[in-house]
Amino acid sequence: MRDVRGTEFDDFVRTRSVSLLRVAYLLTGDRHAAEDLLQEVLEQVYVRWRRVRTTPEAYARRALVNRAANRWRRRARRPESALGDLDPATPDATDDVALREAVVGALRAVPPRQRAAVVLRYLEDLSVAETAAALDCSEGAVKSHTARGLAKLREALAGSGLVVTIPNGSGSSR
Amino acid sequence: MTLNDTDVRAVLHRATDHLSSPDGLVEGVRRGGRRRVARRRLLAGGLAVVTAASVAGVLQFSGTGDERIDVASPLFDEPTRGDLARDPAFLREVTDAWRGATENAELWLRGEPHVVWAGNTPKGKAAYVAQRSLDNPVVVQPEGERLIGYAGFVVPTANGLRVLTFEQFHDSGNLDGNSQAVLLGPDRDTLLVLDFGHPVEYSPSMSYAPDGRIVRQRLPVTFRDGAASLPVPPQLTKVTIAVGRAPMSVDSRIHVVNENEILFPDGKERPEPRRFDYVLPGADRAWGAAVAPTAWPPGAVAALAPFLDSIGTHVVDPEAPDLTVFGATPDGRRLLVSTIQYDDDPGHAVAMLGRGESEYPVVATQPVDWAEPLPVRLRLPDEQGTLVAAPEAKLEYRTGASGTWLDAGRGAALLPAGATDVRVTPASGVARTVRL
Repeated sequence: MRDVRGTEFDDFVRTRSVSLLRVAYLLTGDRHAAEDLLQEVLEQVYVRWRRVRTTPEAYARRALVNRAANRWRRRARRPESALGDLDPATPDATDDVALREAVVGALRAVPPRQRAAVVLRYLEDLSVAETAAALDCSEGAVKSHTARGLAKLREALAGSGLVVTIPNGSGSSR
Repeated sequence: MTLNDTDVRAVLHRATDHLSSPDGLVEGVRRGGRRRVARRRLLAGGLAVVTAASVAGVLQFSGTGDERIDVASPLFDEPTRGDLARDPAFLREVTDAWRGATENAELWLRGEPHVVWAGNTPKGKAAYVAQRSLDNPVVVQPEGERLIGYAGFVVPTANGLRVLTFEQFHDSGNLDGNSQAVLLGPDRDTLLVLDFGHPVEYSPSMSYAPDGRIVRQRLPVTFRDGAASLPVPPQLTKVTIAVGRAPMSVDSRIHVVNENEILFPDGKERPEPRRFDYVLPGADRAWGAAVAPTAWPPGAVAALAPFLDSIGTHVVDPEAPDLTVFGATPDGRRLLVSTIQYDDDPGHAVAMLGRGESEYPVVATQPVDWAEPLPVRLRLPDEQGTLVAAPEAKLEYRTGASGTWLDAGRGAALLPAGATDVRVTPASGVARTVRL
């Protein structure tokens, strides 16, 4: 039987998987969990391909956010792993590993919706409207989530001493 | 001093720069996606677990993973049964309906569909069809088995033939997990059961004895040319029937393919009822460390069994609490109280007393009306008191109309045998006095 997804689906996975994996990683704080999450979401996209083929990435992002929030809730009922257990360092530049751990650790302190808003706005560079669609909330809620999440992230990262800090003069209001 | 937006973008990118696409992602996603497509079709039809297998041996086996195997099975190989087995026009109509449905469901199939059974029923012409899967991946459940094909009922509707649900079947040797029956007609009052080679019993309805015990009549199913059509009460909003291999038990139940359409209309699951587990003060005197166990003493499980419909299929009313009380009687026995409630039927409360693990005779039962201020009032024998329960309510009692109100805790309490009145104050609402 012919696969209705053809090569279009494969191309989507090949071209967009790294970008989605980055989002999943920052949402989950764990590479293995992120890969599992990505696979789950892409399987979901596969199943619904006919309906989502015109906007597969937006659908995938939304699914990532929802599933990540569910994972976070499940995990919250278990004892937390030490940060060092989350993503064992690979041979890598020491600064990058330290920065990665600081960012993941900082994001873990940010509530899931705020975390998702910050990741979509600042990693994916989505507009407020696009982020609202991914989070299934109003644009006002996105602005609020982003501002509060960003404040927590900035605070945590500034305290880590791992990144250069400069006076905050810019804003983002797309 | 703080990070500006550019810095935030930079650190998020740097923190994820090490990531690369997992090896074999496309292939893995496609494989997983295909499993989901199949599972989705199964769940859309409402089966909790679908397991199945052919009943004949493996003829040829090659390799591992998703490669093909050829397995003989009566579902593929035996002549069509039923009084319409020699009706080519109907068989063509059935296979056309099957092909259309499988195409729409995006099932990966090979070969031709085989009509296992085709016959007349009081509700019209129906059939059961099977077809080999394109490949034979090892499935997650049952562990280690391989998918060999899909099967499903083709039933008459006002709009023509409809394939109800595709069910996988596997290579291990039995069809116990597959749906063997279907409810037909707009009122779902005809039960069509296929003959899978075992004696079958069915029960058309369920009722309750005055003490709450389940009453079911068990009738043998007589097959004729591969199937039996049985009249049953309309199954519109709840499922009263039960069907299973004889002797019918919880382990021999036969799945009815469309019963979940009745229990979960529009595919919506109902919320679970609120569960209330109360451990009464002093319960540990009788239960010790085993108080509020996740596994009940075997004697209590056996004592409660006649109150449970182990062979039927039900939902529970989300508005009806699910109550369990652990306590100890003044003479040192373990007290266990449980409520049971099916569909929109009246619930029942059952009290058991016992020691150790084995003997837990039922000592009191009552119908439960959760709208009452004090829904549970069970007088225990041998002057051991009265168990009362009203989830989340504050409970007080007194002895005699002029007695002082004494605190009895919240939710459930074992009151002294001499208690005459209970004052119940709901979490939100006014206090009500109930005469015992």
